[in-house]
Amino acid sequence: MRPLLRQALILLVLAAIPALISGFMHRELFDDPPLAGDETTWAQVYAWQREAGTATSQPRILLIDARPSESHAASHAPGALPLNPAHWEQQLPAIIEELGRAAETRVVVYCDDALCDTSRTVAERIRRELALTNVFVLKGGWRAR
Amino acid sequence: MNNNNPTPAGIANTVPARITASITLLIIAGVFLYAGVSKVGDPAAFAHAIELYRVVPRTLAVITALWLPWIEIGCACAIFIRGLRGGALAILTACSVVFTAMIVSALARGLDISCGCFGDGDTGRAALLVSLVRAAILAFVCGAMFLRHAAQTAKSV
Repeated sequence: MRPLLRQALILLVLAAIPALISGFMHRELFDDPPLAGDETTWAQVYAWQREAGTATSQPRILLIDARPSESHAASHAPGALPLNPAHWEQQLPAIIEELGRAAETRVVVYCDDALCDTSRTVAERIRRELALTNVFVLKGGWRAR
Repeated sequence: MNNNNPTPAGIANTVPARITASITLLIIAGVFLYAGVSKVGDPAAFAHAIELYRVVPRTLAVITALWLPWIEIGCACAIFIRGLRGGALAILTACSVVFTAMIVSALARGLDISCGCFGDGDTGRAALLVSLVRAAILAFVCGAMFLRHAAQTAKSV
Protein backbone atom coordinates (compact mmCIF):
# COMPACT_ATOMS: atom_id res chain seq x y z
CA MET A 1 0.00 0.00 0.00
CA ARG A 2 2.81 2.39 0.90
CA PRO A 3 4.60 2.15 -2.50
CA LEU A 4 1.27 2.82 -4.18
CA LEU A 5 0.72 5.97 -2.14
CA ARG A 6 4.28 7.08 -2.87
CA GLN A 7 3.75 6.56 -6.61
CA ALA A 8 0.43 8.43 -6.54
CA LEU A 9 2.02 11.28 -4.58
CA ILE A 10 4.92 11.52 -7.05
CA LEU A 11 2.47 11.71 -9.96
CA LEU A 12 0.32 14.35 -8.26
CA VAL A 13 3.36 16.49 -7.44
CA LEU A 14 4.73 16.13 -10.98
CA ALA A 15 1.35 17.17 -12.40
CA ALA A 16 1.25 20.14 -10.03
CA ILE A 17 4.37 21.68 -11.61
CA PRO A 18 2.90 22.44 -15.07
CA ALA A 19 -0.44 23.20 -13.36
CA LEU A 20 1.26 25.90 -11.26
CA ILE A 21 2.94 27.35 -14.35
CA SER A 22 -0.41 27.30 -16.18
CA GLY A 23 -2.05 28.91 -13.13
CA PHE A 24 0.53 31.69 -13.19
CA MET A 25 -0.08 32.23 -16.90
CA HIS A 26 -3.87 32.27 -16.38
CA ARG A 27 -3.96 34.02 -12.98
CA GLU A 28 -6.88 36.17 -14.14
CA LEU A 29 -9.01 33.03 -13.71
CA PHE A 30 -8.91 33.56 -9.95
CA ASP A 31 -10.40 37.06 -10.30
CA ASP A 32 -14.11 37.69 -10.65
CA PRO A 33 -14.80 37.87 -14.39
CA PRO A 34 -15.50 41.46 -15.54
CA LEU A 35 -18.99 42.45 -16.65
CA ALA A 36 -19.74 41.74 -20.29
CA GLY A 37 -21.08 44.63 -22.39
CA ASP A 38 -24.71 43.67 -21.85
CA GLU A 39 -24.42 42.65 -18.18
CA THR A 40 -25.42 44.70 -15.19
CA THR A 41 -25.58 44.27 -11.41
CA TRP A 42 -28.25 44.72 -8.75
CA ALA A 43 -26.38 47.82 -7.49
CA GLN A 44 -26.64 49.37 -10.95
CA VAL A 45 -30.31 48.41 -11.24
CA TYR A 46 -31.09 50.03 -7.87
CA ALA A 47 -29.23 53.17 -9.03
CA TRP A 48 -31.21 53.22 -12.29
CA GLN A 49 -34.47 52.76 -10.36
CA ARG A 50 -33.58 55.72 -8.11
CA GLU A 51 -32.76 57.86 -11.15
CA ALA A 52 -35.98 56.85 -12.89
CA GLY A 53 -37.94 57.65 -9.72
CA THR A 54 -36.54 61.16 -9.38
CA ALA A 55 -36.10 62.28 -13.00
CA THR A 56 -38.78 61.62 -15.61
CA SER A 57 -36.19 62.08 -18.35
CA GLN A 58 -34.50 58.83 -17.25
CA PRO A 59 -35.57 55.51 -18.83
CA ARG A 60 -37.91 53.28 -16.85
CA ILE A 61 -36.64 49.93 -15.61
CA LEU A 62 -38.50 46.75 -16.49
CA LEU A 63 -37.31 43.71 -14.59
CA ILE A 64 -37.98 40.37 -16.23
CA ASP A 65 -37.88 37.16 -14.23
CA ALA A 66 -36.66 34.34 -16.52
CA ARG A 67 -36.84 31.69 -13.80
CA PRO A 68 -39.46 28.93 -13.89
CA SER A 69 -42.99 30.09 -13.08
CA GLU A 70 -42.98 28.30 -9.69
CA SER A 71 -39.88 30.23 -8.59
CA HIS A 72 -41.44 33.51 -9.74
CA ALA A 73 -44.65 32.69 -7.87
CA ALA A 74 -42.67 31.94 -4.69
CA SER A 75 -40.78 35.25 -4.71
CA HIS A 76 -39.54 37.83 -7.17
CA ALA A 77 -38.14 41.34 -7.40
CA PRO A 78 -40.78 44.08 -6.94
CA GLY A 79 -42.43 44.81 -10.27
CA ALA A 80 -40.70 41.97 -12.10
CA LEU A 81 -42.73 40.24 -14.78
CA PRO A 82 -42.27 36.54 -15.57
CA LEU A 83 -40.97 35.51 -18.99
CA ASN A 84 -39.34 32.16 -19.55
CA PRO A 85 -38.92 30.13 -22.75
CA ALA A 86 -41.41 27.46 -21.58
CA HIS A 87 -44.29 30.01 -21.40
CA TRP A 88 -43.06 32.52 -23.95
CA GLU A 89 -46.26 32.96 -25.94
CA GLN A 90 -48.49 33.33 -22.85
CA GLN A 91 -46.19 35.72 -20.97
CA LEU A 92 -44.89 37.92 -23.78
CA PRO A 93 -48.09 40.05 -24.24
CA ALA A 94 -47.80 41.42 -20.69
CA ILE A 95 -44.21 42.43 -21.39
CA ILE A 96 -45.17 44.17 -24.65
CA GLU A 97 -48.00 45.99 -22.86
CA GLU A 98 -45.62 47.14 -20.13
CA LEU A 99 -43.04 48.30 -22.67
CA GLY A 100 -45.73 50.37 -24.39
CA ARG A 101 -46.30 52.46 -21.24
CA ALA A 102 -43.08 54.46 -21.65
CA ALA A 103 -41.08 55.85 -24.55
CA GLU A 104 -37.81 54.50 -23.23
CA THR A 105 -37.28 51.47 -21.01
CA ARG A 106 -34.25 49.59 -19.80
CA VAL A 107 -35.04 45.88 -19.72
CA VAL A 108 -33.14 43.83 -17.14
CA VAL A 109 -33.47 40.04 -17.23
CA TYR A 110 -32.51 37.79 -14.34
CA CYS A 111 -32.55 34.05 -13.64
CA ASP A 112 -31.45 32.02 -10.61
CA ASP A 113 -27.74 32.64 -10.23
CA ALA A 114 -24.46 33.28 -12.02
CA LEU A 115 -24.49 29.83 -13.61
CA CYS A 116 -27.94 29.85 -15.22
CA ASP A 117 -28.12 30.75 -18.90
CA THR A 118 -31.85 31.43 -19.17
CA SER A 119 -31.51 35.18 -18.57
CA ARG A 120 -29.09 35.44 -21.49
CA THR A 121 -31.34 33.30 -23.71
CA VAL A 122 -34.38 35.44 -22.85
CA ALA A 123 -32.46 38.71 -23.28
CA GLU A 124 -31.22 37.67 -26.72
CA ARG A 125 -34.73 36.59 -27.75
CA ILE A 126 -36.23 39.92 -26.58
CA ARG A 127 -33.62 41.83 -28.58
CA ARG A 128 -34.35 39.73 -31.64
CA GLU A 129 -38.15 39.52 -31.48
CA LEU A 130 -38.95 42.97 -30.08
CA ALA A 131 -36.06 44.79 -31.77
CA LEU A 132 -34.95 46.34 -28.46
CA THR A 133 -31.37 47.38 -27.73
CA ASN A 134 -31.57 48.45 -24.07
CA VAL A 135 -31.68 44.88 -22.76
CA PHE A 136 -29.37 43.76 -19.95
CA VAL A 137 -28.55 40.47 -18.25
CA LEU A 138 -28.38 40.67 -14.47
CA LYS A 139 -25.06 39.18 -13.36
CA GLY A 140 -25.40 36.83 -10.41
CA GLY A 141 -29.15 36.53 -10.89
CA TRP A 142 -31.79 36.37 -8.16
CA ARG A 143 -29.37 34.97 -5.55
CA ALA A 144 -26.99 37.93 -5.87
CA ARG A 145 -29.57 40.52 -4.76
CA MET B 1 3.95 -23.52 -17.80
CA ASN B 2 4.32 -20.96 -15.10
CA ASN B 3 2.81 -18.29 -17.40
CA ASN B 4 -0.54 -20.08 -17.36
CA ASN B 5 -0.83 -20.13 -13.59
CA PRO B 6 -3.38 -17.82 -12.06
CA THR B 7 -2.10 -15.15 -9.70
CA PRO B 8 -2.87 -15.56 -5.96
CA ALA B 9 -5.89 -13.29 -6.45
CA GLY B 10 -7.20 -15.63 -9.16
CA ILE B 11 -6.37 -13.29 -12.02
CA ALA B 12 -5.39 -15.13 -15.20
CA ASN B 13 -1.83 -14.59 -16.36
CA THR B 14 -1.93 -16.45 -19.65
CA VAL B 15 -0.40 -14.96 -22.79
CA PRO B 16 -3.81 -13.93 -24.21
CA ALA B 17 -4.73 -12.40 -20.84
CA ARG B 18 -1.49 -10.43 -20.79
CA ILE B 19 -2.01 -9.25 -24.38
CA THR B 20 -5.58 -8.20 -23.51
CA ALA B 21 -4.30 -6.39 -20.42
CA SER B 22 -1.64 -4.57 -22.44
CA ILE B 23 -4.20 -3.47 -25.05
CA THR B 24 -6.57 -2.35 -22.28
CA LEU B 25 -3.79 -0.31 -20.66
CA LEU B 26 -3.03 1.23 -24.04
CA ILE B 27 -6.70 2.20 -24.48
CA ILE B 28 -6.90 3.66 -20.95
CA ALA B 29 -3.73 5.68 -21.57
CA GLY B 30 -5.09 6.90 -24.92
CA VAL B 31 -8.43 7.96 -23.47
CA PHE B 32 -6.90 9.89 -20.57
CA LEU B 33 -4.16 11.40 -22.75
CA TYR B 34 -6.84 12.67 -25.14
CA ALA B 35 -9.00 13.91 -22.24
CA GLY B 36 -6.06 15.79 -20.69
CA VAL B 37 -4.79 17.32 -23.94
CA SER B 38 -8.29 18.44 -24.98
CA LYS B 39 -8.69 20.44 -21.75
CA VAL B 40 -5.20 21.65 -20.93
CA GLY B 41 -5.18 24.49 -23.47
CA ASP B 42 -8.35 26.16 -22.21
CA PRO B 43 -8.52 26.05 -18.40
CA ALA B 44 -11.13 28.85 -18.38
CA ALA B 45 -13.61 26.73 -20.36
CA PHE B 46 -12.93 23.68 -18.21
CA ALA B 47 -13.27 25.71 -14.99
CA HIS B 48 -16.66 26.94 -16.24
CA ALA B 49 -17.70 23.35 -17.08
CA ILE B 50 -16.79 22.28 -13.52
CA GLU B 51 -18.62 25.28 -12.03
CA LEU B 52 -21.78 24.29 -13.88
CA TYR B 53 -21.94 21.09 -11.81
CA ARG B 54 -22.57 23.41 -8.80
CA VAL B 55 -20.58 21.19 -6.47
CA VAL B 56 -17.44 23.20 -5.74
CA PRO B 57 -16.79 26.95 -5.36
CA ARG B 58 -15.20 28.88 -8.22
CA THR B 59 -11.66 28.88 -6.75
CA LEU B 60 -11.66 25.10 -6.36
CA ALA B 61 -13.10 24.73 -9.87
CA VAL B 62 -10.22 26.82 -11.26
CA ILE B 63 -7.59 24.81 -9.31
CA THR B 64 -9.15 21.56 -10.57
CA ALA B 65 -9.26 22.89 -14.14
CA LEU B 66 -5.57 23.74 -13.96
CA TRP B 67 -4.43 20.53 -12.26
CA LEU B 68 -6.68 17.71 -13.51
CA PRO B 69 -5.66 17.77 -17.20
CA TRP B 70 -1.99 17.46 -16.19
CA ILE B 71 -2.86 14.62 -13.79
CA GLU B 72 -4.62 12.83 -16.65
CA ILE B 73 -1.69 13.39 -19.03
CA GLY B 74 0.89 12.42 -16.39
CA CYS B 75 -0.97 9.26 -15.35
CA ALA B 76 -1.56 8.27 -18.98
CA CYS B 77 2.19 8.41 -19.58
CA ALA B 78 3.01 6.77 -16.22
CA ILE B 79 0.97 3.68 -17.19
CA PHE B 80 3.94 2.74 -19.40
CA ILE B 81 6.43 3.10 -16.51
CA ARG B 82 6.42 -0.11 -14.47
CA GLY B 83 7.45 1.65 -11.24
CA LEU B 84 4.58 4.16 -11.45
CA ARG B 85 1.83 2.04 -13.06
CA GLY B 86 0.09 1.14 -9.80
CA GLY B 87 -0.10 4.76 -8.63
CA ALA B 88 -1.27 5.93 -12.05
CA LEU B 89 -4.03 3.31 -12.19
CA ALA B 90 -5.10 4.14 -8.62
CA ILE B 91 -5.42 7.85 -9.48
CA LEU B 92 -7.21 7.19 -12.78
CA THR B 93 -9.64 4.79 -11.07
CA ALA B 94 -10.36 7.37 -8.37
CA CYS B 95 -10.83 10.09 -11.01
CA SER B 96 -13.23 7.91 -13.04
CA VAL B 97 -15.28 7.10 -9.94
CA VAL B 98 -15.49 10.81 -9.07
CA PHE B 99 -16.49 11.68 -12.67
CA THR B 100 -19.22 9.03 -12.55
CA ALA B 101 -20.52 10.33 -9.22
CA MET B 102 -20.51 13.94 -10.50
CA ILE B 103 -22.51 13.00 -13.61
CA VAL B 104 -25.00 10.95 -11.55
CA SER B 105 -25.40 13.95 -9.23
CA ALA B 106 -25.94 16.32 -12.19
CA LEU B 107 -28.53 13.99 -13.71
CA ALA B 108 -30.31 13.60 -10.37
CA ARG B 109 -30.54 17.40 -10.03
CA GLY B 110 -31.74 17.81 -13.62
CA LEU B 111 -28.84 20.05 -14.62
CA ASP B 112 -28.73 20.91 -18.32
CA ILE B 113 -24.94 20.81 -18.74
CA SER B 114 -22.26 19.06 -20.75
CA CYS B 115 -19.92 16.52 -19.19
CA GLY B 116 -16.81 18.64 -19.79
CA CYS B 117 -14.79 15.42 -19.89
CA PHE B 118 -13.19 16.07 -23.28
CA GLY B 119 -13.38 19.86 -23.55
CA ASP B 120 -16.52 21.17 -25.29
CA GLY B 121 -19.38 18.73 -25.60
CA ASP B 122 -23.10 18.44 -26.19
CA THR B 123 -25.43 19.54 -23.40
CA GLY B 124 -28.64 17.87 -22.32
CA ARG B 125 -29.77 14.76 -20.53
CA ALA B 126 -29.10 12.36 -23.43
CA ALA B 127 -25.51 13.57 -23.85
CA LEU B 128 -24.97 13.38 -20.10
CA LEU B 129 -26.31 9.80 -20.03
CA VAL B 130 -23.80 8.83 -22.73
CA SER B 131 -21.05 10.46 -20.65
CA LEU B 132 -22.26 8.55 -17.59
CA VAL B 133 -22.02 5.19 -19.38
CA ARG B 134 -18.55 6.11 -20.68
CA ALA B 135 -17.34 7.21 -17.23
CA ALA B 136 -18.77 4.09 -15.55
CA ILE B 137 -17.09 1.78 -18.09
CA LEU B 138 -13.83 3.68 -17.64
CA ALA B 139 -14.10 3.37 -13.85
CA PHE B 140 -14.76 -0.36 -14.12
CA VAL B 141 -11.90 -0.99 -16.56
CA CYS B 142 -9.43 1.17 -14.60
CA GLY B 143 -10.47 -0.55 -11.36
CA ALA B 144 -10.05 -4.01 -12.92
CA MET B 145 -6.59 -3.13 -14.26
CA PHE B 146 -5.62 -1.66 -10.92
CA LEU B 147 -6.66 -4.84 -9.09
CA ARG B 148 -4.81 -6.98 -11.62
CA HIS B 149 -1.67 -4.88 -11.19
CA ALA B 150 -1.97 -5.03 -7.39
CA ALA B 151 -2.35 -8.82 -7.48
CA GLN B 152 0.65 -9.22 -9.76
CA THR B 153 2.73 -6.94 -7.54
CA ALA B 154 1.72 -8.95 -4.45
CA LYS B 155 2.74 -12.17 -6.23
CA SER B 156 6.16 -10.87 -7.21
CA VAL B 157 6.97 -9.68 -3.63
